[in-house]
Amino acid sequence: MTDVDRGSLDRILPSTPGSPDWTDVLRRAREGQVRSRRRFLALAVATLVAVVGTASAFGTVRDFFLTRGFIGLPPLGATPSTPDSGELVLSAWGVHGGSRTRLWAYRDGRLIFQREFVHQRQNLPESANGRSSGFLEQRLTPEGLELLRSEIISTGLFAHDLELGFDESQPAACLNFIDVRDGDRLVRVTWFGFGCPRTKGAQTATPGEASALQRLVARLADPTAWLPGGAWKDRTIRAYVPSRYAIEYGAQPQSLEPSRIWALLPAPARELLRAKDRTRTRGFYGFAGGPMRVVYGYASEVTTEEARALASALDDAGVKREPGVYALAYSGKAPGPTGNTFSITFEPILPNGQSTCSSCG
Amino acid sequence: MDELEGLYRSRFDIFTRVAATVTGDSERARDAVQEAFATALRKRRSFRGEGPLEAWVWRIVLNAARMDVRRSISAIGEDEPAANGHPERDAELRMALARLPERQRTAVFLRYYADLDYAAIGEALGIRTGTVAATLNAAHAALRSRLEEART
Repeated sequence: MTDVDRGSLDRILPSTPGSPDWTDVLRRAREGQVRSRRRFLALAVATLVAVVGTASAFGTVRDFFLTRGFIGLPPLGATPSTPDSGELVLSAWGVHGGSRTRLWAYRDGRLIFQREFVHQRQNLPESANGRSSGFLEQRLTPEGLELLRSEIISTGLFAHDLELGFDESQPAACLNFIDVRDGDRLVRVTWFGFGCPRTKGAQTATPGEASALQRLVARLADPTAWLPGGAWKDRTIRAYVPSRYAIEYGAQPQSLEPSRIWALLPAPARELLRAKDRTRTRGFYGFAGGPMRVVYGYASEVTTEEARALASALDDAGVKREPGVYALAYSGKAPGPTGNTFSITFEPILPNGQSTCSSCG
Repeated sequence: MDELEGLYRSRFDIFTRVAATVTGDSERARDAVQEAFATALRKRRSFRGEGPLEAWVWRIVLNAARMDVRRSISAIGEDEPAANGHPERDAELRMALARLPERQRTAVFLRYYADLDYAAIGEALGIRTGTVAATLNAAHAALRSRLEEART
């Protein structure tokens, strides 16, 4: 006997979050069709922008700002965010009101954020699509940045790194954290939702601590709603246009060395990645409730132009482009066990040099 | 009610819970199921009716779940999941299942939880029916050995 029966499997499987929502399925199906049409349209627009861009080289060159987020690479000619580097003053990752917000604030006043609509699609005017806003940017004054930082510090929880576990009466997403600069280092407070994986050293949060952190997440999810007018140098929401991208690639469930992945790619892509330094990343692969298996991936930094050339080489070779709700990504069959696949994901690099994970939750 | 919608409504829970064995997270599994049914709606003309509709949809669901894992590879924390209070016997089974190769594990859930027959499992996993039997036999042998090991 191996104890495999429906009852035992039922007990060990995680429960289903939420109920069926066929309307959401219909909406996604429609959006998928629209995305396909948009790909053709985007190509036409990119060509037009290239023509206009070339023409402008003979006249006045004007900034080209995007008023809504995008997924993957920016349209040709989009003006990159400046300066291309910056010191991180604070960052946050948390869920409030059905959206997961990630936010980064820099010494130069830039406030970069991304929202993922985790429970229900939301079609905000500045969002890239109904699931993700893409990376967006606003500008704070020095006073605005200090107000934001004070809001965090005033909780009294950021004297040193801290890890807290919430109990069942304290609703929270599985993983949440806030970093805030203290001199030359960032102090991090991390908290874990009830029943979620947590670090062994996490202390149980008091009701006061939980309440303060929940309030903070709500405030950071929408600083426009409470920061005064004087806090903003430019409250207009624009797309964050990076100057560099991290190309993250790997295979799973069985990891492959970089050379084995390059061998699967068309020559221009292979040569580009081979020529770049790379770092090894470590992730986990497994199933709910069970132990995770370690998988390794690789990340190389490229300019936006190089990223564009890489995407073009992959497209030309017919490498499968994924639907792209969160990030530009490609995948294909890889050597190894049945189902082993490689993936290549394009992730924007933020001003502090950090690469993002556009779909991580 | 359309057949696809009927399948969705009657089997949503099963699709989502089995998808969670691939994504490692039930929220992401739900998202994968929603996305998979949207894909199935868009591509329904490519379903030739050579096998059951459910097997065709399972294949799309499992692909969507695997894609989600690829997207989230660097997001999963480095800590082992906490114990969730199930009795010891279930914990042993969960550990033993976790150590199975993905194809074997998914075959077990499709057979004994989703109640698919061998032909449908073959369609869902993209393997021949004979291979399904071999896969399940191998899974049983591995589970038996690991459960015995855990109990001695």
